[in-house]
Amino acid sequence: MTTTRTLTYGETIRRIGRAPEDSQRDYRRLIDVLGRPSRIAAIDTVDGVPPVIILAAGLADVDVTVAVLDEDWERPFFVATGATRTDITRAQHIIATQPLTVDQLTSLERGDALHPERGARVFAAVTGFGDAVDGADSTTLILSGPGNDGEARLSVDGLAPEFFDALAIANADFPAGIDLVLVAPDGRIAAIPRSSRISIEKPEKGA
Amino acid sequence: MTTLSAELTERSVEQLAGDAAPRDIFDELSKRAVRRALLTAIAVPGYQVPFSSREMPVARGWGSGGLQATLALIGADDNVKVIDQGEDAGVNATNLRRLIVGNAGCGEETETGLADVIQSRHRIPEEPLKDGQTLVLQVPVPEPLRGVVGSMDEQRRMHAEGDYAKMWVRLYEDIVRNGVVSHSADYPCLVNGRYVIAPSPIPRFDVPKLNDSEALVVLSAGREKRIYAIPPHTRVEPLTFEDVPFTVEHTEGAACVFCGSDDTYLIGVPEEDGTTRWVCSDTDWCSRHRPDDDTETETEGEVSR
Amino acid sequence: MGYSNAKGGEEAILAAEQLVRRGREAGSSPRLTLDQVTERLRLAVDRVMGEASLWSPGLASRAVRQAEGDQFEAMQLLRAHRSTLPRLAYSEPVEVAELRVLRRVSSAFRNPPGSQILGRTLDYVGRLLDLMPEQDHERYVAELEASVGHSHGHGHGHSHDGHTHGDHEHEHRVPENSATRDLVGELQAVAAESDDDRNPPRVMDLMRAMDLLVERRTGEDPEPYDVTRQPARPGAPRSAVLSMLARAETGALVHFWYKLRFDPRSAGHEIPGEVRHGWLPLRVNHPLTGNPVQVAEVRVTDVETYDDLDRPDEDRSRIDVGYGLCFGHNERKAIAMAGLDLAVHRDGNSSEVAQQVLITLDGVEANGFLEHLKLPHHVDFRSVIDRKQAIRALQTGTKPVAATDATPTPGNETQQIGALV
Repeated sequence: MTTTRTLTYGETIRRIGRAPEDSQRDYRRLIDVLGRPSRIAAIDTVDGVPPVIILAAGLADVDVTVAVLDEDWERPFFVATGATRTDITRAQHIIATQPLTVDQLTSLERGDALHPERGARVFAAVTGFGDAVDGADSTTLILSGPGNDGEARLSVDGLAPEFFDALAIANADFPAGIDLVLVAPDGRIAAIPRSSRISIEKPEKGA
Repeated sequence: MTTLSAELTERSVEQLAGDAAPRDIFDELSKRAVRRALLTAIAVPGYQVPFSSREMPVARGWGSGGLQATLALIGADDNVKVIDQGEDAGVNATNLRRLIVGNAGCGEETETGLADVIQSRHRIPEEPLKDGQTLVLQVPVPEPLRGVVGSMDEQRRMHAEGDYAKMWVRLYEDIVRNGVVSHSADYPCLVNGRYVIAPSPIPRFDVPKLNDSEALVVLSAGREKRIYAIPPHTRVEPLTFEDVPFTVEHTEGAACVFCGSDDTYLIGVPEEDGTTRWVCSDTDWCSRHRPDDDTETETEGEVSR
Repeated sequence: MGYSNAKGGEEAILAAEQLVRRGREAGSSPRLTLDQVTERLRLAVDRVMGEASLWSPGLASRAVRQAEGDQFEAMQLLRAHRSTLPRLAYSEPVEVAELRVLRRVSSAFRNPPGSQILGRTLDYVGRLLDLMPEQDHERYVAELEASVGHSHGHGHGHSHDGHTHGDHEHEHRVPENSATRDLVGELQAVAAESDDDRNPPRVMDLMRAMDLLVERRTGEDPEPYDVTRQPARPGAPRSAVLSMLARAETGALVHFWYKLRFDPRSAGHEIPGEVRHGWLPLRVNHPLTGNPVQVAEVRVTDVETYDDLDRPDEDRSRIDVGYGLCFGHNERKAIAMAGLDLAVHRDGNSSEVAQQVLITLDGVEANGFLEHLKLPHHVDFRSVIDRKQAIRALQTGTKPVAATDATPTPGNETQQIGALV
């Protein structure tokens, strides 16, 4: 996903920073989907800034370490939020505008049983949530655990099944683990807390 | 050092501070700290997440944690309900409510079903909570193992390893000595089959409401600087033994003198003649379930709006 | 029927607030000015600043006045206010050797390098209640000013041959009025505040030169633990312990220190090498040039204290050191801090002493929690009564045990929760 900036640098930084009312609203939607992992909600979008950047910016400041995996958005993000910049293996928040590789995912901090709060929180851009008619590039997850009334399904476009296999492995040592927030270009969001048990639904043969 | 004019200093401070500038009692930096901690709490149900709890205009022990959680959650288009012992009209609940409304510019509600965020001390409302509602419980002592082992290191180890054997032994000894589990309110519960929590001093009567709830339950301890959560649809089970079932508070024959209910949590009011009158603890629920015959002259417990 | 103490919440609060406000202004005396609080009750102001963890004599005097002298209320007000202040910058570390001394004494050495500077202290002034009639006050002040003028220029740094009260008086003109005699010594020292800055060498350096100290410097320079961003728990580093001690309530510290004296492992007590009261510079890096700039001065009390290492597992050939520092002039707090710093170090920072230091000494927390007992607790109290009745029924066999819960709550199924093993 290419990021084209048509805004001035200053304007970009201004737009990344959310007004308090907006980040409060974003946050309520975020805890709604984190508390119910198969649910999809939506945050208000801002012209010229990817929603994944917006959502992550609302939670970032000098007290949190962040890694932004995007050359174009890295500097504006840190200027706008004042967040503490660090590398991917130590960051508390990771922002990925491109799909994280399995290697990157396994390198993230997971915390440990004494310090689950150290586990990383990933804000990952996805292309959609089961939008393509033919299901191309889409992985359907079967989720169970807290927040799911029984078993629930969530389809994610733009992240390979291997990614979710790796996520399941990373979270196998609960309460250590990684929490995943998914953000589509139109502002829809979903989230998979490390407490969710994930399995991948095998695609049916034939269209 | 030159002295700047007061106005210039104030402006400089505002500019330097950015959005951490004080507009109120709880700035954005503090809200984000609570929000981030709460995200972890939701992702690890029942785990007490340490957070940088700020001092608030209410004293420690008086709901500073609940207040921080509510202020981090609430927006101007929300309605907040604040209760203490189930009552909206209590002085402490009123004080907290006006702080919240004054700070967030939100609306206030006494009707449980119409509130978006409910901050409560020691009760869960009788009206079942719905998808989209958030319950914030004020927690005095978040550590359920406090009465079991003294060392914080050992408490943390027990939680980390899910090793609650000492707790079970304590409960067992209790039964052997007393014949029943003598633990009253704040009954220890197992969340998601993994963490034992202190559900806050809600009565045992309210514990079943935590299980598989439609609402998100946030438990916030300001003085002890920990926050934990129970997402919707999460298993919450009070600790008990197979042959000693969990019992709730019950007094045979007690019914609310206002609404007649005998299946809500009732408070006993001792009378001078030695008898006990019973009333609903949840004043809002009680006021909405009065018998049609409106000859009630006593209006205690109702909030006149 | 008196339903509860919760009737008419809003009206009750407003009425209570009115009473408080009227009470503050009650009586015929004029309102205390802030200057009166900072000048006449300076030690109360100093103490509040330390316990609120905020250096601001102006704000602290407001808090003391608003709290009508209630130390804990003042602390709470100031601490809550501190919460609303934005963080603009982090100060650069200062060497405590930079402290500009107002007072400096050592119990460990009779004549430490740089001398004992008695400064302004009550330690050797008799604890006699001043019963001077109110109307004599003006004459008294005039006499005081006259006697201070005579001794101006007298050097104030002197070695002591003994700490007897009499030695001071030989050197000064003793005024006629015996009521002022005791306080002359103190006044001489007040005059000293306007003399040259004092920066005596530190006793610690002397101890190091004599190779007596345990070497606790590791060469590392970790970021200090910020206890306002991360709650401190056992195992936290020394900077967390010192931060919590610096914010702790003075009485709690003194009492906790005192309690440890009765611990069988505490054979004697530590000996302060230095007790100092003075000014420390506050520096931040300039936002443009990056150079350190002094932006303020902060008055502090600090104490270094030495203890004989005598436990079986300790290095018996050495002395260990504890350190305490707090805002304002509060020697008992800094002395207790230094002693407790040592105690935590000797016991280990995961010990019970460490745990208590980290979580039980904060005045705002302890007082808040204690006073919360005044809040209604009738919901859980009713639950307690229920349990008593259940146990009594079992003991006396008069009633069957309360039914396995039969009362469904609206919307929930009857719960009979099963086993968890």
